[in-house]
Amino acid sequence: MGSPVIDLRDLTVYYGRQRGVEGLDLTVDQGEVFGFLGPNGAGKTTTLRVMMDIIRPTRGQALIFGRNCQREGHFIRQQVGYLPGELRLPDNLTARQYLAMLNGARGRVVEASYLQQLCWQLELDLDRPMRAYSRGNKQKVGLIAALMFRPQLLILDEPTGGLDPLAQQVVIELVRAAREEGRTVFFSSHILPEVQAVCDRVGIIRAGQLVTVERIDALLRRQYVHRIRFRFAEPVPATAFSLPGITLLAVNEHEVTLEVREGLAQVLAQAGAFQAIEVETLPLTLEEVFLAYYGAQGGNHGQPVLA
Amino acid sequence: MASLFWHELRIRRGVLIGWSAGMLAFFSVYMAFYPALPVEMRNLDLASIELYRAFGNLTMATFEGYIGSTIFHFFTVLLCVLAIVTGTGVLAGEEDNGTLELQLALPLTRWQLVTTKTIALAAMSLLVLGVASIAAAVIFLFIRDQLTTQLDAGDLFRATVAHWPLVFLFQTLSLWLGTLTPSRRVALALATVILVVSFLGYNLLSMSPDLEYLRPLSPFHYRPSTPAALNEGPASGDLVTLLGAALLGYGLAVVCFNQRDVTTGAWLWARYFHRVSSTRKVAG
Repeated sequence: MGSPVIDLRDLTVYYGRQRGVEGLDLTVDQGEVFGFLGPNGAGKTTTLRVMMDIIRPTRGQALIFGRNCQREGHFIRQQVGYLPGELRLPDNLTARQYLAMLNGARGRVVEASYLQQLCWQLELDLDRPMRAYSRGNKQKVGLIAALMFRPQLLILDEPTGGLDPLAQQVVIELVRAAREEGRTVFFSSHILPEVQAVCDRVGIIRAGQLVTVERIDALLRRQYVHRIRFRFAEPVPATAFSLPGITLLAVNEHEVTLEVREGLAQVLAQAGAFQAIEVETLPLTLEEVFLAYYGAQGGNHGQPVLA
Repeated sequence: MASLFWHELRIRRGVLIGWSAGMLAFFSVYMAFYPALPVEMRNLDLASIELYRAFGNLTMATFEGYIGSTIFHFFTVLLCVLAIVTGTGVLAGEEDNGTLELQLALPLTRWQLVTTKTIALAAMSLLVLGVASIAAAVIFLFIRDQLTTQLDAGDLFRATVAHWPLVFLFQTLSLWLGTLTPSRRVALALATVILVVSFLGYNLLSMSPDLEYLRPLSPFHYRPSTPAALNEGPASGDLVTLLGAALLGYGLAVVCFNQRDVTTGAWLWARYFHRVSSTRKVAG
């Protein structure tokens, strides 16, 4: 495998005494769709802005295509499509005028047919003044601006923000298409189902620090929380599973659904004592794992995390 | 870069049209008014009145004096307001309204971005001044028969357009302040203070012979509004001084913008304090 497309080394950004991100070490390989997860204020946008050389690191460095983002940013950006999280567009232009400006500044590399295809897929009329656009339509303009010149790297900050479900699905398809063409996507989001749908690996950032980087399937396997349903032949008292670290999600005489954060062995022993006849482990979504991760790491989300 | 240059002009077309129309109205009203000025008002010795002296060597006795001391007096202030509005509008204004972020995603260096915007600023002020100069020359032709003056329309056009270096200076000064300060609002306030102090200071200093040596520090010292500048053309040394100062403002803007953390809304030097505090923390 060649050198990584994105290589963050001890990346640290401070805003005065406030930490943006600290000690980020991360690599993303060619052709990978990497999900960058974290709640608002965790440091996702700061990281992306350093990669785009919009802000400069306090310490460490960001490399893209092996080049330093700060010193060689203009070379790097020839092959990077960027969608900012807080997209603002000039109101008094049409989208066509604005995209033509961006295309001109890039040396007119956009294929008209591909631009037309993107507009068709996203159902966007380019000839209306952008002041008349809804938030979703403005987001579509930002997406087209990032995608239209088929960059080798896409850096997307909350790409589906403000979009309706159909348009969200189109974005997912566009990201998949980029991956199929061997392009790399850095996908920052806090909307976990879409990350689960499209990403190969995820990095979870909390309070400016990267807490884990894993393949999604591995992350889903390595659970901090188990959701289990037991069925019993005989009625079970409601208090049978009132144990520390356990949250009762649903209880009736013959069936109990639990969220187990600690003491799994004790729960299984208790189920055995009441002669459970069926055990089912319920799969967790990435969202639930993420929330559990935050709970396990002492994040903002207290317990129970899945209830 | 050409694409971004035209973009800058296009998104500010409303401002440019508005200011051009304003300049047209200004010259129409002020110049057309002169032939109707009563003789006794023209012969007023305004220089003997202390308050008037504070606002420059006003005279209405000749058309050249009226143009230089009255019309151009207010004209320069108006132009400097335009310069500050446009100078803080690019970069600082775009950072404030969020439209700069996508421009920073273009494959341009920061100095290329500042240079493109500086050229766009120069074009904006030239455009407005061009309209003002044509307006001055055309209105002059309409009232020419009612005047006693050695001036012709070409002189007036030349003298009007020669204000461009002063306007450009305030534009690059405002641009630089925008790259240094946390927001457009702060840059606007500082540029306005500089305008007021340099304009009023220049005029007030004329009242004190002991402080007169300070007058060359004000950019208004170099504006082409004396009768000699009107008749014989602006002094090239004055124009070069103003242009040199404007280019210094551009250079400072390049340096400061190159160091700036865009979108953070912080003073330029804040980043260096962050680095020092972070290094201390690591060392600790």
